[in-house]
Amino acid sequence: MKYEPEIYAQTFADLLEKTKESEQNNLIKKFVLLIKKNGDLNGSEKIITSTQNYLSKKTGGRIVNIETASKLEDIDLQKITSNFKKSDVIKIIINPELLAGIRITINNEEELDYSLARKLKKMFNKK
Amino acid sequence: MAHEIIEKLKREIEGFKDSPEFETVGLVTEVGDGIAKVSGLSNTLSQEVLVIETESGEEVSALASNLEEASIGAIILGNSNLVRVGNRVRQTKKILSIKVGDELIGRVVNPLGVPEDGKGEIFKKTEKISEYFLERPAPSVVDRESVKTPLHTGIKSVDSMIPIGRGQRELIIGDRQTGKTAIALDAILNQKNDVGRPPVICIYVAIGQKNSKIAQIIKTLENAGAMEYTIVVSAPASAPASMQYLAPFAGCAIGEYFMDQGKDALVVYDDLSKHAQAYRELSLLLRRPPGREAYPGDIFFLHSRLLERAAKLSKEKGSGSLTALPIIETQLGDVSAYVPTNVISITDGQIYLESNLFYQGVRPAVNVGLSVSRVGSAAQTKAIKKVSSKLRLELAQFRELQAFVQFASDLDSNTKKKIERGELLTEVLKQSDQEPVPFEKATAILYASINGFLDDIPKPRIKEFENKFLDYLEKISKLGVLESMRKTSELGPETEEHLKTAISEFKKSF
Repeated sequence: MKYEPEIYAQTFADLLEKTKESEQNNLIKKFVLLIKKNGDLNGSEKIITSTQNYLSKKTGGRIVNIETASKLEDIDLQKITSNFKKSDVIKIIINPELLAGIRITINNEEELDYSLARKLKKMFNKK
Repeated sequence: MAHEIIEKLKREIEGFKDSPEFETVGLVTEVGDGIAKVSGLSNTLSQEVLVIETESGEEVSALASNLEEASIGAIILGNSNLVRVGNRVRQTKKILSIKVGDELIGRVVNPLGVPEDGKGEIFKKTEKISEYFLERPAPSVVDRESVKTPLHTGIKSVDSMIPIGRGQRELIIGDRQTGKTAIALDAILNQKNDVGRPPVICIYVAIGQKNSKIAQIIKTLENAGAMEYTIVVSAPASAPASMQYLAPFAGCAIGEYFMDQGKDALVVYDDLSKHAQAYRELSLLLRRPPGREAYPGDIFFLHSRLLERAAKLSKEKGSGSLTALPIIETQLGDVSAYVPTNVISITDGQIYLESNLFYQGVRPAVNVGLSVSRVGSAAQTKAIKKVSSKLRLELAQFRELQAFVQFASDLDSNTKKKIERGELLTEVLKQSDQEPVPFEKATAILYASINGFLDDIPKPRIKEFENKFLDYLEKISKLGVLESMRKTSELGPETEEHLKTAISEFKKSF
């Protein structure tokens, strides 16, 4: 990549702040064109993640990943998501490797693991 | 039977309590060439050991090296093929360290302290194990003392003209196949002969060498009985660059353990050129900016912080010492390359080996003109000091006149004499591989040669004279010259007279 995803994210977020709402679409189009021109379209996923992280940090929010082994009922999902702020970005991920239970990761840094996979691992690793 | 097992399992599950809490975690975002980039874990320490949870359930450890704003560059220490993007990474809150203890002696280990000799577990007595950090600050100025005890290598030219003291850092530098490792090995072998001083624990660190060469070295040490006081840290060419980078630090940490116990240790880094290359590889993969010869900017600090850890400790700190013999391989005798100049400036002197001398049959191929020892003379025994100053002078004069050797017949008698003496001394200083000579024997033969006792012996018979004369002194002569020197480390007037008598008596029968 010509530039690090963090640099793209920071630049985009800073520009977004200075741009009027009516011109935001134009800014996004130009931003994508710039990424293409730099030949960094392959790293677009990283750029999006970095932008998301940067924007949420700026607004005081957090990136919350909620992983479950199977799809949750809407009521259960609402119960869980109601614990977070409005500015938090919540992602729901289905991860069968957890076997059962739930795993919540905040800002990709902190983790609360209530999955069966972890419990089994801990039980069998116990000495 | 099955019922019992099921009941046991039930009881175990019932008794299992688990209360998960928020834990810090990182994610592998990039992996390749033994390097992993990890996001998260913003409070990781430099040199902290991280654990990567792989898909197969196996845990692979990694060393936190680059601490950046949003990510960490980690050097994978285990099987890097198992690591995938998205694997979870956890902190251990432990700085990379190695288990050390007396039981390490005689063993071959890798830089993480894992035995490599197939002799099983190292530490059986758990109470005598310590953990030493691989990276540790060097002893401070206050904790140090000047070098004063000799470390005899058993090589006549080194012990007489480039003496090494315990706690010194003496570089062995030369092209490939000039006998650098042989000098270091002789120094290890000679520690067995060097009685009268506290024994020296030796650590041989093999960096980026062929496995066959390491096996050969271990065999040599075993055959000579030197493994009884030696530890080998092995990071062969087949080991990942991370292991080659860590090996000298592991060897140093082991040496420091013995130094802290008040013992004397000798560590040989064979060789730091390959170490610098391994570090360059890691640094480039970690995307650190390259500098001269593509080495990273901190290549000097890498070696200086390693070699600064060699020290002679003060009485208050237990009087232990760690002597370092780093080895550097030059390309076509170019000592002005980047890494050789760095290490030359860090160490307290160098033993310079030359290919030309090697091919002329001068072995060890030490160039005594270019070799120096900055602090070792303070540690030299009085006996050998007595002969060394004259030896140095005579050899220096010989070097100046060497160009005229071809015209020897046209020269005046004085110059002729000097050339003959120089040739004689060069012959006396030659010695075979793996045959270290104790300092008292070296003193005796050098005394005889610089005082003209060997002038009438034909050159081809010098070696024979030396062997027979030293045998005579040891076994037949009743004057006790060697014993007296061994005990007092001096060549007093009485011993000197005895030595003169012994030489004259021996010459009658030779």
